Amino acid sequence: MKALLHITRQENKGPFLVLLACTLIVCLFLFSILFAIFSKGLAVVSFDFITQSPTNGMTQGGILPAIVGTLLLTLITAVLSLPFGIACAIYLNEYAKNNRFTQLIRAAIRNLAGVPSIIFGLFGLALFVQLFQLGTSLLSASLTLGLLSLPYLITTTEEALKTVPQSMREGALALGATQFETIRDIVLPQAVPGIATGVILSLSRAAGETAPILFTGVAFFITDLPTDLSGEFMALPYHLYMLSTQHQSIEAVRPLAYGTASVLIILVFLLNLTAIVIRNRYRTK
Amino acid sequence: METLITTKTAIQISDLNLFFDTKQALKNINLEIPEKKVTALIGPSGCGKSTLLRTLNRMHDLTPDVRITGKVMVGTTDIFDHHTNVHLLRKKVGMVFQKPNPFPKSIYENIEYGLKINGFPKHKIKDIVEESLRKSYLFDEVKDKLNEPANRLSGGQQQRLCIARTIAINPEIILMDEPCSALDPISTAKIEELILELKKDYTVVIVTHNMQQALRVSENTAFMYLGELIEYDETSVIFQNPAQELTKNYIGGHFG
Repeated sequence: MKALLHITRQENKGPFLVLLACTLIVCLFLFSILFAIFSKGLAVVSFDFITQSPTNGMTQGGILPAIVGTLLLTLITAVLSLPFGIACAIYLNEYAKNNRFTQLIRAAIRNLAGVPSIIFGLFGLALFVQLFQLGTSLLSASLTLGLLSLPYLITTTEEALKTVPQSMREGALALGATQFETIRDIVLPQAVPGIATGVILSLSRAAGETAPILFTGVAFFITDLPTDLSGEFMALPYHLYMLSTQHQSIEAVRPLAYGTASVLIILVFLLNLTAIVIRNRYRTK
Repeated sequence: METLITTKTAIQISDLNLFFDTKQALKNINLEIPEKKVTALIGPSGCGKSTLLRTLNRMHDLTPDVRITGKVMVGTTDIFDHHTNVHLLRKKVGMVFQKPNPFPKSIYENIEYGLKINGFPKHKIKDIVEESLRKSYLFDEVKDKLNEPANRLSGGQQQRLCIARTIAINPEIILMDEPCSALDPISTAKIEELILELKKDYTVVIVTHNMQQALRVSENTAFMYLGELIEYDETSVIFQNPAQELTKNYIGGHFG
């Protein structure tokens, strides 16, 4: 009997090893991408590279207009989409009753998140550029990216609101607070770290998009920095696409393409890092 | 029954029925709660005592699919009347919850918040905060750390802070939903001592699972079972000589 017990019930190393292997493969891909880009790109990234405009038919010089373009684009996208996204999440989580209408809204948001980004690009072209006569501009592109970000913004904000315990709302209401006061004074302050994290992550995703800005405002080559909302602009993802596939002397600009990719990745990492810092800061509080 | 008749009524509940969707949680409740006394609601889990308590300050307003019939008068206010301002009602009828729920703010701000939203004059706030902390026997323990986060207090202190927060806005009635069930015996004793003190100024309605607690703090006790009010009398009568067989069995520990 004793021997039998020893044989039949042993912890098998198999599952552990398979799971570990899968995890390592995932990491392997990430690190090989990073290595491929940074090993060739970091050499190009210098102070001049990020502070100068492209020169000599983009075979020399830096990528300043693209960096500024992407930063502005992300910023304006945030300004345009945050109020709607957060308001919508508050409505859904705090006010909406769970009925057919709300289910329809939720289904719409879920499906919006599944729409391919190129379709957002074409939709932006039809709606903002043509119908609203905004032209191919920073504003049209920001509006399009804003639409793309909305479902993520709404979902992450709603998750953040859900983490605030119901007992907090009840505590405020029991003191005579209105529902609006409860949300403003008690719920939102507690949800801020979660909302901030979600906002930054959806923006960092938007910053790397090419398809939605392709038809709505991004330009091949502009030496001037964008000065107003109605002009076209350069952006890192499109600049990279262009340097790697559309340039007349692709071999000559290859290092610049790697440099651009490095800058874009670093930019997105910095955004994500900000999100992590905010989250940890509030968690330890 | 003497005490029930001779004192003024704080809350008058008449023919109260409450449905969650199609399930009836309260069945034809009639209950008179006297002023400036402690009334205990006891009964097994799911008997509707918390549901009844939460009806009294209309905490069910935000729960979907709740249907209420009947009448509840708080003083001269019909609480279900369309003209009744629910926020003023809740200022008058305060509530302390089962689990201490201080806001993630400082001790001071926790009490200040209710005063602010209810429009208490700014220059009085500091005094009221201190006074309500004294009244809830918390002041000496926290007077040097009023600006520290309330979450750092112990569970019992947090619950006393929640009581302080409730009495700060000067209610007439305090509803307590098993206020000690998450606390250790020493903290429980402090809260009970506080309840006995509170009834000098306030009407207290307390839901409790702990029958000894009902015996220690309350003048009157209502026993509920399956959504019905089975028996309501002076606490000593309920515990020593109940009229109903069900009450006797519950008090005797035969079920629940």
